[in-house]
Amino acid sequence: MDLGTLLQITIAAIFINNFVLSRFLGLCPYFGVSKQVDSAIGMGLSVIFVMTIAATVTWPIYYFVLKPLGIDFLQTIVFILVIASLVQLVEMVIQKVSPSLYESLGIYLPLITTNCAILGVTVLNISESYNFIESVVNAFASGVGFTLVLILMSGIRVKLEDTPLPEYMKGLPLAFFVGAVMALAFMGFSGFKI
Amino acid sequence: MNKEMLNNILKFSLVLVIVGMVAGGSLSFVYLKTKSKIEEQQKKEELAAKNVIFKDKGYVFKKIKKEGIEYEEVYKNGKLEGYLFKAYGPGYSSVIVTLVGVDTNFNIKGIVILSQAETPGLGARIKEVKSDKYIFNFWKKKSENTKPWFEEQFEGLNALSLKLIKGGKEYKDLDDKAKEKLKKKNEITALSGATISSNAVLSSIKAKADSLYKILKK
Amino acid sequence: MAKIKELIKDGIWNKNPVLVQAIGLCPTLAVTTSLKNGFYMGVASTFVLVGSNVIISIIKSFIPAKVRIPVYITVIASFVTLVQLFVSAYLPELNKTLGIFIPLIVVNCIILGRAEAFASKNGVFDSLIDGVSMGIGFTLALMIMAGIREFLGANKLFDLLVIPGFEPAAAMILPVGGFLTMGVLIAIMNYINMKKR
Repeated sequence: MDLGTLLQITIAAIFINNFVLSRFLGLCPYFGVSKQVDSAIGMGLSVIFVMTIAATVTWPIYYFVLKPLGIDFLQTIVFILVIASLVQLVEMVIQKVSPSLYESLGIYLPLITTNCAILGVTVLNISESYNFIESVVNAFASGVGFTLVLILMSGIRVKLEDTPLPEYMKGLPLAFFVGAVMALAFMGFSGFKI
Repeated sequence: MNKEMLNNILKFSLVLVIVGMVAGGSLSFVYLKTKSKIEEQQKKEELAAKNVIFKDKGYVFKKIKKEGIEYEEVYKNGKLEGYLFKAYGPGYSSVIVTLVGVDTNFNIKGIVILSQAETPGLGARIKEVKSDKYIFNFWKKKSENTKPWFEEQFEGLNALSLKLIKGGKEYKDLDDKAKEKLKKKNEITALSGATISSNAVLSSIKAKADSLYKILKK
Repeated sequence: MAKIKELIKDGIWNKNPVLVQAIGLCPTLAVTTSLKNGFYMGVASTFVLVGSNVIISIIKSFIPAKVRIPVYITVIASFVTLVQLFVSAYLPELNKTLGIFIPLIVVNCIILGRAEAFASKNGVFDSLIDGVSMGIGFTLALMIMAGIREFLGANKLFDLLVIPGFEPAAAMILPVGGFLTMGVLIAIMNYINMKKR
């Protein structure tokens, strides 16, 4: 296994092609769940978890089932169903195994099915023709990148909560401007080359 | 209770299976209808690219695979005129695929970037066409060149010793004299703000040309 | 008739999916780098929205409540795959630029949202109208965004140059510009609605 490639994929997924700030995936939770740091961490961890499992499951399905049967045009439909049932399964397992973890992550899991970042990462893994290990690493790193900006965002929003602003600027518009500044900051990573 | 649950599970799975089958069935039908069209579309695209590179009619292409490298020999009237190959360069956010045509001395006849998904506004400008069509005179049909200027500047240069210059003016903004000068020095101007994408195209062409050259020399 | 009017008004203005409800943001920001992309994305999403709304309102009474979400997703994903097949067969250029965002129409929250909130409770005709008007609202929002960004970022509208000699700020086409434009638009929308009250 080429460790260099894996490192490159990791850095690219976290900083350069950050899911939220450069690929525009997973924006709904980015704006919806970033009002408090705690919930941002909870959401972030669940996304990392589900993303990694989703990539682990969808890659073999694509290469061992869909491709050999010549039905790879059903990719979207199969992937989203796999993700939906996976989320349900993960929810049930966590509930049984660790009720305390369930309490902190439970409310975020149903939201994840419609988080486009999850489907996005599985589709990207196929279209970039990553191998199995690369796919899993890419999914995990993308999740980490997502969590990173989500936590940063929530920290900034908490600080900005009490700023005196015109009423129509509060909430979403402000969040978008913060997002713009963050996107600008992350562009600085584009020079990274390993 | 248990029987009810079992019944429910059966019912749910039945509904899901039926929905899945109807969906899968109807999609397969549409897929079979559009399949040939999709393949035809891809072939058409490559053919169009070939015609851009080798402009005149009467060229014959012969696919060859040698020492793991795939390329095509290009003949006209039975005489070997050059080679055609695809170069794959990892760009900023995608793999840039370029179709390259060279003559037997590896002077570039032309290139066409077949696929890329670089950042819009930066790297994606490798496909930018210099346009002088304004919104207030769009109905005027101008004899506008439709070839992206980034591709155009490769024409006539030697594939084996391409050089990239960064930070200066872009090729599209240069006058004819400066263009001539670049051509003599075998240099390509980078897109401003997108050195990685520009370099990906250039070095992938250079690398592929290099290995092809070595194989052919043997 | 009054109800239809109401539905259309809701979709385009009062409950505009992007500008008021702030859902479906991912495609809104990602594809609005040019008017052409924004327009086609809007049309593709509208097609999926109308199709899934109609089908779901027809089959709603046969579907047990507990499995409704997977069924909705299957229906939506089928329409998306249809779009994918058609686009790659007949509009290859578009396929290249919209690329990964076509399969992601599946997870556009607008579509599942309308299925759950509207089509599962209303008749076929109303759902059809709802789908069309929400789709138009979405497309309009996309085109406004795309228009602003393409003009400021490339001095172009629908690939045609606009003002001779105007030096565009490429940043507007980059992610930064997307976030900025969206923030400004939502703020304006808020301002107008507050003035009204």
